[in-house]
Amino acid sequence: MAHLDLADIQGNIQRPYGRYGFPYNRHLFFNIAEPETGRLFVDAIRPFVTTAEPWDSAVGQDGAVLVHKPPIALNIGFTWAGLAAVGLPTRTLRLFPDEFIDGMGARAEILGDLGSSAPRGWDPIWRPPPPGEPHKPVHVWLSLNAGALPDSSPRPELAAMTGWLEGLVEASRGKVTLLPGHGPGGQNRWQDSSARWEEAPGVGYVPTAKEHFGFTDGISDPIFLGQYAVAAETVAAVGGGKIAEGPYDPARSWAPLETGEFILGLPDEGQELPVATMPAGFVANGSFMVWRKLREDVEAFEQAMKTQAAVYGRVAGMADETEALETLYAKVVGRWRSGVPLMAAPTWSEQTTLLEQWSDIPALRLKPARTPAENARLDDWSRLLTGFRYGDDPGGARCPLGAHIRRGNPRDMLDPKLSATLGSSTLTKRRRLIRRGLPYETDGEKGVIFMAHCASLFRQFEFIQQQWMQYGLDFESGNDTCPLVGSRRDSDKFVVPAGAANDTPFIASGLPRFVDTRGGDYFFVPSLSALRQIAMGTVDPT
Amino acid sequence: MPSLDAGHYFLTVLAPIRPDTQAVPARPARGGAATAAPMRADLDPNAATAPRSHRQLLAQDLALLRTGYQTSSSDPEGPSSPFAHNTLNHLARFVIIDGPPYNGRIPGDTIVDTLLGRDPLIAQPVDSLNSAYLLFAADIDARAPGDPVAAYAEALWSTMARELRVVFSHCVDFGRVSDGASLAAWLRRCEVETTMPFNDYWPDMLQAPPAPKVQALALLAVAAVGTVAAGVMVGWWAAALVLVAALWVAYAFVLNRGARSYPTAPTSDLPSVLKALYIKETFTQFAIAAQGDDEAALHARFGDFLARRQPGAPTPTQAPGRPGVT
Repeated sequence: MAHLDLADIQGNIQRPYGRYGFPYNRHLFFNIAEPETGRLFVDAIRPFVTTAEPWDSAVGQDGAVLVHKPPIALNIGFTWAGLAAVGLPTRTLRLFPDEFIDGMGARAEILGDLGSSAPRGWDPIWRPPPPGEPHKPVHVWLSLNAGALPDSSPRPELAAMTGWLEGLVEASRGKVTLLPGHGPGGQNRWQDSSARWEEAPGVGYVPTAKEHFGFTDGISDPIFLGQYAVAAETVAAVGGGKIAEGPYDPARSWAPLETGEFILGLPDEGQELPVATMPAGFVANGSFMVWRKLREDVEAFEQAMKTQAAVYGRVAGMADETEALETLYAKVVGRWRSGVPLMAAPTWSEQTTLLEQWSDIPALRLKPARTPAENARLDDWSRLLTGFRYGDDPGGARCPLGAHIRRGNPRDMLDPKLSATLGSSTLTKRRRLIRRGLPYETDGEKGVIFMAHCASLFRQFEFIQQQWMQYGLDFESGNDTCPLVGSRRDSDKFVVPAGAANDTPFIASGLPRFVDTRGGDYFFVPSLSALRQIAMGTVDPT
Repeated sequence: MPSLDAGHYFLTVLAPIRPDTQAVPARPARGGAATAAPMRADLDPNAATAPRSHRQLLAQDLALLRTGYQTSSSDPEGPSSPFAHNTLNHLARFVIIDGPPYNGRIPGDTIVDTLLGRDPLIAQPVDSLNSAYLLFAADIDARAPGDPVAAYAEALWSTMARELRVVFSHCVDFGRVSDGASLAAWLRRCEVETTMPFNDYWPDMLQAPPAPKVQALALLAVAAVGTVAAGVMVGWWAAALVLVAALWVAYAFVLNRGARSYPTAPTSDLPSVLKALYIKETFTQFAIAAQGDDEAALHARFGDFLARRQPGAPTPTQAPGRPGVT
């Protein structure tokens, strides 16, 4: 196991807070007008930044718990303009990768943010102001993650911490601005997101992992060396790690990805140190982060799926409308809405049977203290959800080649030697993203706040977005884009190959765009040491 | 000849760019802002005409030449490349080659250099070309009998003579070109052999005829027997002589086979490729529309598809240089 200085790494890289009892996430964005005041602002926030250290488990020499789980998890990131605004040296600024310097808006053509997703239609905070008004671009991202009270409302510390931040802004005498401009009319001062809630009998409200289209989100995240303790790492690596060359063996082929794919300053899968900037001590233990607000057109999606399912049901010979609709949903994403992958259950009836066999899982998850046997059962369920590969399904009979999860994480399917026994992730393991984020629902608009961590925005995020989501050649799908999140400028169809669910192929066509970008940018998420250097103005100590 | 392969001619032209300068009217390049007032001659003696190198002007003219619909940011409604006005070329490209890239000093071994007395402070020669060159490379159909370059030159001259003059007039000796025949002669003068053409129209590989294998085995047997016989009857030096001769024959045999053109792949000419793309796209549309049809409706729809799209006939088809069915 790699030893990471977890106390130096920001906690949002390490943990999906939503699963650690923080179903609320508030995003605040700031502009800094003067480096000195900006550094004071960073210095004031610095002590409260949540690190990746395990909570309530590490015990000091005196037997006391070292790190308690905080009521609010706070994290911070900077755009390139933000790093310039706090006065980083020219050498550090100019050596950053092009795409980070450009920012997300300038990369719209690469990302497929065109037409209804184009930056000119983004929330006002991400756009230049009308002529005559001062331009205050986003410099700093602050994220507050909060727990919930039994009635599912956010804990009061969220409002208190927000108030404290507003106090800091006030004390800056106009040199630090909390940027408003969220929402279609720009009326909101920050962007809230939260898990969607479900009432569980006898328990009250519980947060779910569902996004607004009804799919279970965030199941298969990559695992890197040192992220977890050894035992947890072994379980999580199956499905979340890389697949070794040689004969495929589910018990032995999976291993965690090299840390440097996500955390800077450590070796990556190319056996190199990731390229970020200089000095190395500023970069180490940092990460790049994508922040994107993605609007989901739930109505258009449901309407289009219903229309397509009518034809799909006829082609597949499914009399049951629900079966046709749910199967089509599953084919679009590659998972049933329950989260069960098509690779584990290719038909509606198999999924139903499987869910019955595992009906104890939701209750097990909520149980505060579990027996080893119960934990083992949860591990088995996790393996079922993530521990698959595509060597068993080269033609997409189970999971269509163009399905969302196959595009986002092709696992072993691009291996030229792919067969029933062989298949490695050598060609795909350098293009993984740690996804974080929660749904939002504000001003009648639904969507997700998508965040992704990686060591190279260009190699990882932009490649996946451009080549895999907005293009289809790697998936034998021509110009077809992702049926869920793709642009429709060059193609509006999606092919469901023949398989157990439908014995002739089905082509969905005339699909509208379901997901639109409403704003976002690229952020550098510094280590705690780098935050100190920013605050002290000693990034270049000479 | 490697320039001709599988029914396609891979034309590689390296035309030297004129070393002299040309006086051009001092006006902004197309798309540039119009100046409010002409520059006064007393402020700039070159105000009326600015001397520019042909290398500069060629780069500017190439930047203004329309390209094909290559990326999703190309304007699908805009005018297409002049090379789309003929149905012979699959690809055509221009590149300005200023010189060989400089990779720095040829590295040496310090110990060897010291022993040989080489002084690392003495500069090594740096390679350069005698002039800048314009590379013109085109992959063209060569199915019709006769000289493929002559046919191509005729097609180009009749469809894009204006653009050819704009580009090639910056090259040496193009002034004398006045028709298809003289264009062909000029291209031939500047042509270099394409030694590694790339053809992707035999996706399932061509079955090699069995004869060469038999010949090769026979040759091998003769060489082996000859070597042994010479060795036994005359001496080791005779055996070595026969072996060298046999190796040379084998080498010449392989080179001879390698230099032969691959046979023409069926339906690999541009009109057939365009028709295939047209059928691929229209058949996808048909397949989408036919989903859920009963047998009678499917039969009628397919009949309509055949009648409208004419898979066996040259038309209707897709226009060159412009994807999609209009």
